[in-house]
Parts: sequence; C-alpha cells; structure tokens
Amino acid sequence: MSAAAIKKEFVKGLWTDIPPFRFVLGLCPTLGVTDTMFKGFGMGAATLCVLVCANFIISLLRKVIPDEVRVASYIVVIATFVVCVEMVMEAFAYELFLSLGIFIPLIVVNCIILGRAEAFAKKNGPVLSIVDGLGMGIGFTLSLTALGAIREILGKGFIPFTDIQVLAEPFEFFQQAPGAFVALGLMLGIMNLLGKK
Amino acid sequence: MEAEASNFQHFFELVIVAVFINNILLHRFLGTCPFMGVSKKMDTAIGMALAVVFVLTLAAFITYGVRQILVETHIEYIQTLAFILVIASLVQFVEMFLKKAIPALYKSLGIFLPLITTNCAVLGACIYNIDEKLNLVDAMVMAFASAVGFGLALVLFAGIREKFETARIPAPMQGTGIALVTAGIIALSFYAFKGMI
Amino acid sequence: MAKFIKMIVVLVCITLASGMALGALNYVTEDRIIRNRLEMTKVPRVIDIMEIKQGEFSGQKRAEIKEGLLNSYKNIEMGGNTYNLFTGRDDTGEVYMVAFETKGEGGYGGEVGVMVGFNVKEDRLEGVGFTSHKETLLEPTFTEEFKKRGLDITYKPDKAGGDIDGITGATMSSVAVCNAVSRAVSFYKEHKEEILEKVKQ
Repeated sequence: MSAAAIKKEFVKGLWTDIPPFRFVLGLCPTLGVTDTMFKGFGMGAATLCVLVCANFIISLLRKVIPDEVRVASYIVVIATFVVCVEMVMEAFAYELFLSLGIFIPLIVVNCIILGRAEAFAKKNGPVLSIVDGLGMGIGFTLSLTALGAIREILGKGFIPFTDIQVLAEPFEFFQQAPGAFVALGLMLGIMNLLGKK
Repeated sequence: MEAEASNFQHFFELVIVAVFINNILLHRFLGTCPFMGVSKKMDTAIGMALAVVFVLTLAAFITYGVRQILVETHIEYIQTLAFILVIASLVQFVEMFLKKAIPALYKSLGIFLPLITTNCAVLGACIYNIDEKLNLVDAMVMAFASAVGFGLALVLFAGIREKFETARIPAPMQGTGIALVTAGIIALSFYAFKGMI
Repeated sequence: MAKFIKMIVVLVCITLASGMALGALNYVTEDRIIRNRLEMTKVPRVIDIMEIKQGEFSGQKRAEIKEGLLNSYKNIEMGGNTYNLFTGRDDTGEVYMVAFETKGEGGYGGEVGVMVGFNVKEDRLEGVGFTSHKETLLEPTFTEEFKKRGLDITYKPDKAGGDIDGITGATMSSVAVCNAVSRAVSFYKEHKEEILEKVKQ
C-alpha cells in the first residue's frame, strides 16, 4: 500500500467525488443545518468523525461479518458512533448540540456513511478505509461550510463571526427552507460547471 | 358532543400542520435523498409514498413503545441506536411481506424499498414524536400525516419532473440542480398555508 | 446451521461491544450533560426574570448570580415529576422569588418549555422565560404579557376567552405557552407551603 494509493483515496473525496455535490448523498443535513457557516462546519465535523470511525471498524471486521447480516452490523456500528458523538457534543459543545438538533442523530441515516461502508470499507484495509473516510468527510465538511457561509452572507448580510456588513438588505429567503433548496441547487449547478472545464 | 368536536379540531390541526405547514420534506428537509431519486416517474413516486406511509405509521407505534422501555431502564441515550434497529427490521419485514403478497409492487419499488431504512423522514418523524412529547395516538396521527405530506411533495414533484424531459435546461443544472430549485419553489408555495391556523 | 450460529454470534458480539462502549461513555459524560442543561437553558431564564425587579445586571453580577443559582437549587418531587426549584434573592440577600420550569403542549412544534418565576413576597407571578421550543412564530416580547400578573387571572389567550393578549397569527404557540404558565400557577397555589419550606432548607 503505497503513498500514492493513500493520496489517491484521500484526494478523491475533496473534489472529484465530493459529497454532496458529486456524490449526491447526504442531502438532508446539507439543507437542514447550513443556515450558518458554523453549523455547517459543526455538522461536517461530526459526520467526519462518525465516517472515519465507522469505516475503520467495519474495515477491521470485514472478514468476520457474514454477508447476510452485514447491513444490520454496519447499522449497529454506525449508530454506536453516532450516539458517541451525540453524548460528547451534549457534554462539551452544548450550544452547537442544541442548534444542530435532530440532525445529529440523523447522521446515522446519512447515505454517505452507509454508502462508503458498502462501497469501500467492506473491500479495503483499515488504513485505506480511514483515508477514504477522511477524504470524504473533509470534502463534506468543506461543502457544508461553504454553503453555510453563502447562505449566511446572503441571508443575514454580515460576514460570519465579524461585524462587516456586506449587504444592506439581506435576502432572508436564503435563511429559510425554500432558500436552502434553491441555494443548494444553484451551487450544484456551479460545481457541475466548474467540473466540466 | 363538545368533547367530540374539539377532538376533531385537535386532530384536524395536527394533520394540517404536519402535511402543509411543517411539511417533513419541504420544511423540515427530511427525505430529500429518496425524493430526488424516486420522483422521476409517477408510478414509482406513488408506490414509494404508500410504502413510506405504511412503514412510518407502524414505526411510530413501535418506537413509542421502545422509548417507554428505554425510559424505564434509564438508558434513554441509546434511543438513536434502538430506533434505527427497529426501522431496519420493520423495513426488512415489509420487504418480505411485499415479495410474497404484492410482488408487482415489490418489483417496481426495487432498490428503493430497502432505502426506506435510510430515509431521514422515517427516523426523523419518530424522533420528533418523542421530542414533542406526543402521546401514542397523536404520535401515530402525526407520523401518518407527515408521511402523507412526504408523499404529497413527492407526487407533486414527479408530475413536474415529467415535464422536464421536454424542457430546455442548461447543462450544469440538469438533473438534481433544477430539481432542487424546483423543490424550493414548491416549498415557497406551501408558505401560503402558514396563515391557515 | 453453523452459518446461522455465526450470524447470531457476530451480531450479539457487536451489539454487546456497542452497549459497553456507550454505557461507559454515558457514565463519563452524564454529569456534565445535566449541568449543561441547567446552566445553558434554565438558569439564564431565571436570571432574566430576576432582572424584572432588579434591572439589568452587569456581566460580572450575572456570573455571580449564575453560580449562586447553580449551587442553591433544590429538587422537589410532585405528582411523579421532579422540578428544579430556583430561588432568587434581591440585593438585601433575602429570598423574594422562586422559579421552576413547566411544559405546555399544543404548539406548532409540540411542547413549549417555560420558566415561571413567582414573587413570594407579593404573592404574584413575577415573569416568565422560554426554555425550549420549536415555534418559529413565538416572539420574545410575548413574555411581557406575564410580567407582574396576579395569580387569579385566566391564563389563556384572549381568543380563547382568557386575559392574555395572544400573538396574532400564532394561536397555537400562545396556547402552548399559556398551558405551561397556568400549569405552573396551579402548582404554585397548591404547593406554596411546601415550596417555601423547601426553600428555607
């Protein structure tokens, strides 16, 4: 397992296969918690943790788990890490925990995690699986943070964490449900455009 | 007589809120992945909608009971894990049942049936029932109505998407991009219902 | 047969490992979580209600009062529920207020959590604060309706025949808040003696 192989698995999650834009998975949290940049980042980070840990354990156990019960086993493993993240957040990042709300337990049904378990961790060694998880997870975090920043700037008019006002009359539309759909759709279009070049 | 009238009003409000005002997909963002995947054709959309209504209502019933057990044994923090296992098992049973009883439906749903397990709307609605401290009857009505709301959005969307086949859409926006923007516009139109109650 | 046994064994082992890991983590984080819930949602609302009488507190005074509240709250069990009972002292150090949280059902997003403060010296409702809700239309200014009100008025929105000016266009939210407050008021009236006893301990 060479450095080149590791690099390849890591980098793909950051651009060519970036969720949720290229791998159109994990749309629910992408829409639900990107009204601010911080929430987007927090959600991405939480998902990253679960993804890496789940990929690691599932890869370690891949030869032991019989095929018939593999989905059930994956769900137990993933759910365990999600509950861990829930508890740690409630204890050490309470405000973020409250603002992300129901989307934290919903990490367990984030198609990205089960998807990577099926497509990668099942067939590859633990080190590569961790790398795959890292790449995808960081890519996801970047996407959510970017979308969150855009929605926050357009929707509130201020640059996040500062008092710099960019828009005198912000488009509150982007802070609400319909705006989330439209913003994500447009960003997807832009990403497609950039990818084609 | 008076009690009956206010009972009806209570359930009526519950249903209107769940289907139109807090539409689980267009307002709460849950169920977006299957939404994008299944809404391309009207028949699969309808089939999926019916399957979700069935699974979600049953899941609400069972998870309510599971929650009582968790509270009695003081392990509430396991909720996410317990709920997803319940849902996964339920979907498994529904699959086996449909295969024997309505094979045509089973075939047309194809891969989307097991995907109900990872449908954020199912797990999400069950968690909302607990968060909002609904009693068993309210919880089941809420779950049923949420699923109907999901189905409504799905079917509306499938109708529109069928028209996309013949429309001229810029290349980067084709597929999921324009789908999301359209979903946003439908979500916006649902805002009209807010003033009702 | 062997295959079947292997399936069961693997699933059981994974579930056991999961259970043990989660149990251990729960043991480690439980206390912090309880404290977070108190500190971040309940106590700030009690301080808000105290500001009604004593005016806005400085940052330092607020921190002092927060510590005081966290160290002095009592638990009372009534009707199968545990209430965190907070006591508010005025600047002479005397107890003039008690506060506890109740829930009111019927909002758009389900239950609404309300911290209700009672002025024990003047025997009236001092004020309220919202501890938890998923209502998008619940304005913070609605708390004004509950400042320094008597205990015997009807805690329902005017649209339902009560004395509280409900929020226009948010009937369900107003009803949920009123449910919580009227529940607190009945509780206070019924158990005032026991509450004051508990506070003196």
